Amino acid sequence: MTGTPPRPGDFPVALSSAGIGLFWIIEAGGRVTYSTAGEVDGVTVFGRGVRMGVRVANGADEPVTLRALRIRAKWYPEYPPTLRYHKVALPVPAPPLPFDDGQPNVLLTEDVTDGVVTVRGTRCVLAPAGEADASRVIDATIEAAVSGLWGCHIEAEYTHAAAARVTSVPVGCLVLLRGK
Amino acid sequence: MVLGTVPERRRMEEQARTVGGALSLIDDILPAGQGVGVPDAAAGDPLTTASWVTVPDVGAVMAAMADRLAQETATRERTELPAVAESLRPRLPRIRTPYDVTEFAGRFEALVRSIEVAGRLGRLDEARELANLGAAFVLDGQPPQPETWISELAGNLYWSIASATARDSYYHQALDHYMAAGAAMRRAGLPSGTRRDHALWVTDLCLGLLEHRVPPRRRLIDLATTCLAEIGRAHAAERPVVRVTFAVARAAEDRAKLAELADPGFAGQEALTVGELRMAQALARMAGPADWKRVFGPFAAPIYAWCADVPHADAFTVFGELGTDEGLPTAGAGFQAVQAGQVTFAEDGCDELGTRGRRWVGRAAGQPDGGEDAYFVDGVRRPVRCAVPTAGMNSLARFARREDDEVPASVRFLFALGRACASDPSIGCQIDAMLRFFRGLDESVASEACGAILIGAVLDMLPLSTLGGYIAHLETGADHATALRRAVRRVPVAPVATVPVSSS
Repeated sequence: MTGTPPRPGDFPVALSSAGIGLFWIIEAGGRVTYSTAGEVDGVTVFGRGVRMGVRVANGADEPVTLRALRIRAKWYPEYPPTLRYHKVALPVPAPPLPFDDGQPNVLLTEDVTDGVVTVRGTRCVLAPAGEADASRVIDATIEAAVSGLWGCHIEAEYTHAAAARVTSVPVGCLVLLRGK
Repeated sequence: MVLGTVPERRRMEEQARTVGGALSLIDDILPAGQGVGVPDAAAGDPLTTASWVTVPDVGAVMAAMADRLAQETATRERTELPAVAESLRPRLPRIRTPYDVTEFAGRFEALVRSIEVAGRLGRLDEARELANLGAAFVLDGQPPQPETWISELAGNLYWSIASATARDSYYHQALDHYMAAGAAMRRAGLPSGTRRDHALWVTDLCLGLLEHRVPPRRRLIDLATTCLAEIGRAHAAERPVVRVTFAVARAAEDRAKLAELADPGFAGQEALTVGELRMAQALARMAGPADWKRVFGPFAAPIYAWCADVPHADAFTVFGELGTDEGLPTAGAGFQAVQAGQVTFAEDGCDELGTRGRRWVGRAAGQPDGGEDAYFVDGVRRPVRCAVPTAGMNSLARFARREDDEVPASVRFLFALGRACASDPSIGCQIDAMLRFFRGLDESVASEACGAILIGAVLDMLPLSTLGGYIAHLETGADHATALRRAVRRVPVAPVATVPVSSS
C-alpha cells in the first residue's frame, strides 16, 4: 500500500450517525436519565454515557463482511469545570424485560483510557449496494466508567475483496463522567 | 380491579402522545422536585383517575425531563449563587488577623464553600485566588502534616478545589491529608471511638469516589482498606462498620473478608440487608466460574452479574454462554415503563394486568408472616412465600404461549438457555438453589432473567397448559420437584386454612 493512495472503491463501507440520545439506565428500581453537560468546541457533551445508532452501509457491488465496530476512545482527565450534567429518576413499575435495563455495550474503563473498545454483537454480512440488507443500524450504547471527559470516534473493520479494511468517522461524541 | 375512568384515561393518553403533553401530565401528578434523585414510589402519591397511560416513547419523555432539569438548575444557579458568594465574602479569614479556634474554623469553612461556589459559577480565577488564600493558612508546601486539625482543614481545602476545578487528582490529595489526620489521632492516643468515626468517614469518602469512578480505583480501595484496618476489632460488629466493610470487601473482591461477614457466628450480620448477605455468602463460597456453574447451572450468569456487579454480557461470557464479540439480545422497542406517583406511563408492549398483579403480589410477599396484606384466592388466605422470581415468571409465561418470532429476542435467548439444560441431571438441584437464593429478595434484572431461564427449562418437563400451576406451587413454597409433580398431575394449589389476622 505504501505510496499508493486509496481509491474510493477501496473503502466501500460508509459510517454515519442514525440518531444520538441521552444515556439512561435502570438501577435500584428506578429509571435514571442523564442530561447533557454543555458543549466543548461546539460538540455536545453527554452526561455519563450516550446512546448512538450507527448506520453501516455497503456501497460495493458485492457483499461485505462487517467484522467489528469499534469505539476509539480518548480520555481527558482535565476538562472545563463548568461542564455539569443532571439526572432525573422515576421508579419503574416492575423490572424491565431481561437485558432491557439500559446496560451499555461499550464500557470505557481504566484499561481503555487511550485505546479501542469493540462493540459487542456487530459481526454481520452487508448485502450489495441497493439491496434491502445493504445497511444496518447498530446500537452503540457507551458508558464512561472512569471519571473524566471522553472523546469517542467510531470505526468499522470489514473484509472486502478478501482484504481486511478499516474505515472511520471523524465526528464522534463527547461523554463526561464527573468525579463528584 | 378499578382501572380508572375510561374517558379520563383516553384523554390522558391523547395528551401523552406528544413528549410535551406527557411531560405536563407528569408535572400535574408529581409535586415539584419529585422524580429527581432517588426514586421513591411511596412518597406523595396523589389521587388520580387513571393509573395506566400508554405513551409512544418513555425515553423521549425522560430525556425531555432531564434536559429541562439541567436548564432550570443552570438558570437557578446563575440567579442565586452570586448572592451566596457575596454573603460569604465578609466571613472569609484574613491574613495576619488573630482568630480564636472556633472563629477560624467557621471562617475557613466559608472559604471552602466560596471556592466551590466560584467553581459552579465558572469563576476559576476567583476560585484559584481563594485556594491560594486557604493554602497560606494550612499548607506549607510540605507533605501532609501530622497535626490532626490542620490536616483536616487542608483536606477540606483540596476537596473543594477538586470540586471547583474538576481535577480528580485533588481528591486524592485531600484523602492524603485526611489519612495523615487519622495517623495523628492514633499517635495522640485519642479514644478508639473517635478514631473509628474518623476512619469510617474517610472510608465513606473513598467509597463515594469509587461510586463516581474516580481513578485510580485500586488506590481508593487500598486507602479504604487501610482506614478499616485502623478500626479495632472491638468495633468490627458495629452497624456502620459492618456496612462499609461489606462495601469495601465487595469492591476489592476480598473473599476472605466476605466469608467473615457471611459466617453465621459473626455478631454484626444483621447490619447487612438480606440481599447483601446473600451476595457475601455467594461471593465467599464460590472460587471461580466452575463453582458458580456447579451450584446454579444455567442461572449462574445473572446471579453472578448481580453479586459481583459486572455487566450482564460479561457474565454470560464468563460462563461460555455468549461469545466475546456477541451482544446480549434485547427485547426491542415498546417495553419500557416508568411510574409517576400512582400512574404508570408505559409503552404499548408492556403487560398492564401483569404489572398490576406483580405490584400486588410483591406487596403481599413483603409480609413474611402473610400479615394483613396476604392475598386471598377464593376466600382462602394464601401465605406468599416466594414472589421472586415467580412474579416475573407469571409475566414472562405469556411469551411461552407465542410463536418464536413473536417473542422478544432476549426472552427467546433465555428460554433457549434453560431448555438446553432441561435434561441435565443436576437441573433440579440448581433450580432449588436459585429459588433459595432469591427467597426474600426484591425483584431485579437477575431474578427476571432467572425466571425466564426457568420457564425455558420446565417447558421441556411439563405440558404448557400446566406452567401456571407449576409457578403457583413454587409461589406457595414447594420445591421444584414437588411443584413439577403437582403441576403435571394438575393438583390445585393446596388451600391454607383461613387464619384470623391478629390485631396485635
